[in-house]
Amino acid sequence: MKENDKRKLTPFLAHEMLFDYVTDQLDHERRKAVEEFIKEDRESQNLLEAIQRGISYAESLKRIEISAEALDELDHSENLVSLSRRLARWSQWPDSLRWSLVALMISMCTAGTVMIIPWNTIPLFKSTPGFESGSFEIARVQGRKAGGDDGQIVADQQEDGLDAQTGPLEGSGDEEFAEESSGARPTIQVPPPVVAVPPAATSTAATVSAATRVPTPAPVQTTVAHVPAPAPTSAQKASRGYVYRAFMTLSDLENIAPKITQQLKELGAEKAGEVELGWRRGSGRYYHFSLPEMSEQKLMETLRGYGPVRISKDPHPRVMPQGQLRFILWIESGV
Amino acid sequence: MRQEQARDIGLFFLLGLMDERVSLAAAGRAIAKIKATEKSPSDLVEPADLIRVCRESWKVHRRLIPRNQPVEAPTSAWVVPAEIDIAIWARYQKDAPDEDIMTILFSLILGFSDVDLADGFQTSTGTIRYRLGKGIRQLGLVVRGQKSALSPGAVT
Repeated sequence: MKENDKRKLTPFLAHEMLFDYVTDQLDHERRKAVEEFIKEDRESQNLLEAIQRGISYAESLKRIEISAEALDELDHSENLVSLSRRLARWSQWPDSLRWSLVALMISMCTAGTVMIIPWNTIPLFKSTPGFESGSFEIARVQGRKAGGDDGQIVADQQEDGLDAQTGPLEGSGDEEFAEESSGARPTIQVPPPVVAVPPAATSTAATVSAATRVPTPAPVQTTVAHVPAPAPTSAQKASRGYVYRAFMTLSDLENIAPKITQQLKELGAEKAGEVELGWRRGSGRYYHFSLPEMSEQKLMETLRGYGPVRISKDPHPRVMPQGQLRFILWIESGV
Repeated sequence: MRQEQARDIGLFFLLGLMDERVSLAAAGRAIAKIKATEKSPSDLVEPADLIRVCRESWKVHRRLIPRNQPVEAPTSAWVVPAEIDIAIWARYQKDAPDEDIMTILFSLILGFSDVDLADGFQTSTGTIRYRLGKGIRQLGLVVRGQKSALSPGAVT
């Protein structure tokens, strides 16, 4: 097309293209045509200036800022859907709630695991004898049968010897009472191996000496270790002694205590510590005694005749001779 | 939605409706609607989606503002620099078509592209350019104080 044949822009088209001209959106040919039109058209020049002013003013409006309060209000705008979505998002939950739930979950998992695991089948826990302290439990004390427990016997005798050497604790002379008063268990001395044993020792001597448990065991040491017995089984090796601990609270203890002492003696009870039966300690009475196994039931009936008895069977390193049980009875004076 | 986008939406409604109560209500509604659909609070909302939601909220709340009557200027909700004469914008906003106002706000003040505007307004980029040219020309005439000098053929 020749230069003279170009169609001239109409005012309408030129005005409509002014904004694109200002924002540089026209191609070269159109741009040149608009420039030529503007030179000759006064209205186009006015509009061009208006557009430039309008753009400049609009640009200045960018500097308007929203106040912090209004922005905060807008930032926290929620509707039901957005609120439910936010609450459903774990990361948006409050820290305290999240950590509480984590702690709860861990607690539940731990409790579930403890409940599911069959603890009784695990040897580590199975070997430990357990008892319910609140229950009335009557169990037979396994007396010493095997000669393999000689070391234990010697340990017991050494304990007795220590009792004699160290003297009475808490004024009672009874190691069990001292143990209960302090809350600590006595440490068992590991006995040295017994090498030389006189062959002439008799088994009856051992039975008598272990049953009485007098705290002067020195003469007994040489005779006990020679008790002939069948070879120990693994169960016997694992066996331990027991002590029955009984507690009572009685009113009018001053009158009842001598009666109990008398009845215990009638049942064959012999003191096992250094203090006499019914030893007075504060407002209570203390009985540490050994008892023939056959009198156990009668003892319980006798004690129940005076009031409720709480009794527990505790494991103890000291093993009583067969047919003998060891009791520690504490009677507290009260209503 | 990030806070800068909440700021854009707030400014859009404050300038577009020029009524503090209605503007904040419209902006809050738009922001809540965007929050209801977004995947993560830290994500940027797609510009076209933001424009679409704002336009819907505008249509609802524009009816609450009577035309040609004095309105409550959003004095406490925004901070206007001293060199800006906001009355010029108020004069322009009073009579201009809604689509032109929204187009100018989104394009020249908030900086959205013509393509995003066309997508958000569900129209062509040519229409967006036409509305922009018409609106900015009218605004410029108001700035010059010659609103009546508009060409009869240029402004509809």
